[in-house]
Amino acid sequence: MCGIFGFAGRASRPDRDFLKKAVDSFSYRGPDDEGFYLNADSTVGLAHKRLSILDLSAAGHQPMSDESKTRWTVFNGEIYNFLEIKEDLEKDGARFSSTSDTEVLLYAYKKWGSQCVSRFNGMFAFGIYNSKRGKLFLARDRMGKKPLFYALAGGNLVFASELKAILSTGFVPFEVDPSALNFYFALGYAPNDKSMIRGVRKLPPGFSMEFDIASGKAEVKQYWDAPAFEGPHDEDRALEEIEEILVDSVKKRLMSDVPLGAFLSGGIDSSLVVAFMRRVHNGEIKTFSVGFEGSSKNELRYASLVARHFGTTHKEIMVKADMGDLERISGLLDEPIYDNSMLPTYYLCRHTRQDVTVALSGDGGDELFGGYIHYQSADTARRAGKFFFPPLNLLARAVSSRLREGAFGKNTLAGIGMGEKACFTYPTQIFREGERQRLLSTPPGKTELMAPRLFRESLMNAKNYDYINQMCYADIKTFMVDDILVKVDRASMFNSLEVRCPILDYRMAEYSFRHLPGVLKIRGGAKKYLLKKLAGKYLPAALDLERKQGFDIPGDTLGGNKSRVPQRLLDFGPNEFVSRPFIEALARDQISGRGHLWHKIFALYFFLRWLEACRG
Amino acid sequence: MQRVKLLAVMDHLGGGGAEKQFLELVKRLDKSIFDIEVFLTEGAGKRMEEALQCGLKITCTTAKRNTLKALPALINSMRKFEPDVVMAWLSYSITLAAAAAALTGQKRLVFSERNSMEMLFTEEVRFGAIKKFIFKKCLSRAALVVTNSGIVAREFSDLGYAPGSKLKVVRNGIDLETLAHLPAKEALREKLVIPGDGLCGVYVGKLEQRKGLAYLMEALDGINNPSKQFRILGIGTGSMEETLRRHGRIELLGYKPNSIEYIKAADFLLLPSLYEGLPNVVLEALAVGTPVIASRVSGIPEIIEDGVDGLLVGPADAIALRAAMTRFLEDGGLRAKFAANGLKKIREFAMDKMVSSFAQLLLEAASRSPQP
Repeated sequence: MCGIFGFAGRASRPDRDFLKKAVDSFSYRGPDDEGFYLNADSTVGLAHKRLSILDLSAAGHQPMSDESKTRWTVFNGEIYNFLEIKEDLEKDGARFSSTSDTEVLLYAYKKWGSQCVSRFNGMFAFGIYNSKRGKLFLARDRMGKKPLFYALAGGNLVFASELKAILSTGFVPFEVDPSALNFYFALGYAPNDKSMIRGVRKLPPGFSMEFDIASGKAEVKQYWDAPAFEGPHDEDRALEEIEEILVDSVKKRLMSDVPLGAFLSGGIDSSLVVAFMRRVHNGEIKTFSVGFEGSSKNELRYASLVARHFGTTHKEIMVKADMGDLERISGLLDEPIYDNSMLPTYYLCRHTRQDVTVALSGDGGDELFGGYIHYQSADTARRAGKFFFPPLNLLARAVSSRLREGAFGKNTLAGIGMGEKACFTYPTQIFREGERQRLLSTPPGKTELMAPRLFRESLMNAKNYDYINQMCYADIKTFMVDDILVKVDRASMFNSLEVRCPILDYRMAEYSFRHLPGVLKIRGGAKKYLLKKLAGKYLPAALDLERKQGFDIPGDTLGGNKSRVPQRLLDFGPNEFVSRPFIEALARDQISGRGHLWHKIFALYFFLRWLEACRG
Repeated sequence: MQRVKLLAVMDHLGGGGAEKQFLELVKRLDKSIFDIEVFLTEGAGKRMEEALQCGLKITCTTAKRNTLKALPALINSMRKFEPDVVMAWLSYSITLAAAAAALTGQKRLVFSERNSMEMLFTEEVRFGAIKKFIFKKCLSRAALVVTNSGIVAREFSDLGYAPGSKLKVVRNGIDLETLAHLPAKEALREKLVIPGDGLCGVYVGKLEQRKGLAYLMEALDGINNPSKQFRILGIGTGSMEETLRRHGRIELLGYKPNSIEYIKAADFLLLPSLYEGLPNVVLEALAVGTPVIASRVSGIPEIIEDGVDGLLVGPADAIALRAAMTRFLEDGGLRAKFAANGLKKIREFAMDKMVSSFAQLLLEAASRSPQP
């Protein structure tokens, strides 16, 4: 788990200081080691910050080259099946000098070229410079666990694990992309290959890119996407299959040369991961939980119940949410990614890192198995809309707009009477079209205001899935990759911790889209039907599977003062992007207790704080 | 036999696709069967000249959405002309026609709306919910509601705007005979001064955000084109002109009345819209054998079958758009295959087919007993 940076192009001649400056912008990603590579004529530079997990010796140092010194790589992540690939390569005569997966990556690339990525099972983002062919090859894992930003300009390419490394080089000027801003305030992130900065792009999950240094030509290709639905499996068969995949994916993720543990929230996903860890591992398992003082959503009781059941060494911590921490984290973020569980995740990682370097988590269960309440709301709204008379639809919308954010039924009511796809995409926006029109200082036209949800709706239409799977697919492609996984990556990296997600093994994703119909995900109004069945089989009976779960940023308790964050919104100086009166009204509503607007408040807070940090 | 008196109400005769279809319809309806008067509720528009040359009787207000002026004028027309059927196109004219019909007791109404409700009455439209409600009431007075795409018809029926029995789909038509007389592609390239060596993509339409041009720019940013192996032409005018000009990757040629010649001369057509009705340019491109890359929105998937006669991409998805363009730029065989398939398909969209389907519906409405 590390941070990577690279540069290629004829036009510029980077030196070691240039590379050093770039990786220093994310030094927390790799506290153990750093390394630099410059080719003979300084047209290619690679830099690496290392957090050692596998092969702790100097042999794992990066940038790493093959024995002929023609291919050089910087690699961030893990290839869980590297031993199998290594065996294949050894049969072909490859000789390895280290026990790291990075060396396997190099030889796999040597043998299979750009096709090598489809052989890897893992989370990764890497760059390989092939001096013989004068090309730079970049790739990102299938689910988008590891970040990779890049910018192309004047025939040059720069890439990095974090956007701020690209900005630190001065290669791309700091200029907020107005289109990304519109998407951010609608969704809470900039999706697809968009970034908040004009000219900087993300390489999307499941994509690779080949850059030809001589011509400056870049070719971006998709090597993986969730498969089409091929027909349903029945419940028993499905349970067998997911169990089999989960056993193997947990086993693969237990491979490590450093101490390893697991997050345990007491929810279904993390509890199942711990259950399967117990199944494949006899030794000590360390588990970690975090709870908030004064938070109503305290899951610690359930977590310790699960821990006792599986005999793990369990540590729990009660934290008091601190405004100072929020300020620091939000200032470190390279893009504003609004997420109400950023701070709790950060505390959990900080606490976990005191004992272990790697932790397994339950991420992905909600997206692959239908665990979100917004799936239920949309499905209900879609059905209701067909039966309601239009005047009643209007009434439902009016009632919805009067309900506070997050109130029971608000999203369902808002979706009633909209198109089938809009039932899902419209209510899940942070600021809806009309609100954004007032919020943004220079609002785009009316169709462009709708672009964020039109984009998500088109993802729903992209495959032959049923309605539930359409929503899951749209979330996998947007919400999960650009919000959930970014949150996990940044919160863990700020603490130099590596997080692995066995449920997000690509084989699980493939199986879930290929053979699980929507009714095995949401049935009779109950979420995560299939995972609950699996949980019933393995988790302690006393665990209440139907309770409300998840943790959020305890806005009410932050700093012991309800109005700290909204008050903070008023302290930010004016800027050219968002309307000051709109923000003031919003903050005042929140402070006075008239509104329950935490989603909106935090979306604005993260953006304004990011802008402040970027502009110094 | 007495002719059927038809009052055809439309916003204006501007440069848009719906206006073109409307004009072709009133021009081509058999005058031995129909006695037609056209009423424009908003003003004349670019195609007025053409309409007058065809000898159409036109009443044109200069109301520009001034309902207090337009409504009395329309009522006056209805009283004087005493039509057997009133046909109105698009939401504003439909609303006026419904109001005027209610006041004059006119009951044989055929309304044609081509846009999705969601797009017409978005959240930031003032009093959108009320307007939507009123519009729904207006539609309910019609004997028939005609849309030009299945997707809008489905939406109307799903959301209860019109019952399935009143809903009809008549797809846009295209004038195949005129297009058949266009010069060959190479000759057009010479005439329009498009050099023959590099590939050429063309965008035709208003230069507006709705058309997804921001994503086209984004997509082009990711395709290197140092030695100008290909060029993208933009035909049309609009609010995004300045932004596009600054961006510099799309060569803007302004409004061209002969846009079809550019479409034929080009190697492919781009339509990255966020929203559309049933776009005529896509039909035109198929008819002249130019393969298409378009968004998977609105009625477009009812024309283009992805991977058969064109490539469809998600709206606001610059990556997909870039990938599709790269495929077209690299694979001449694919372009040729799509072009051939498109030429076969386009026969379903002959203009006369559209006109005869519409005529049938109008006659049906005329002879139908007045709605209660």
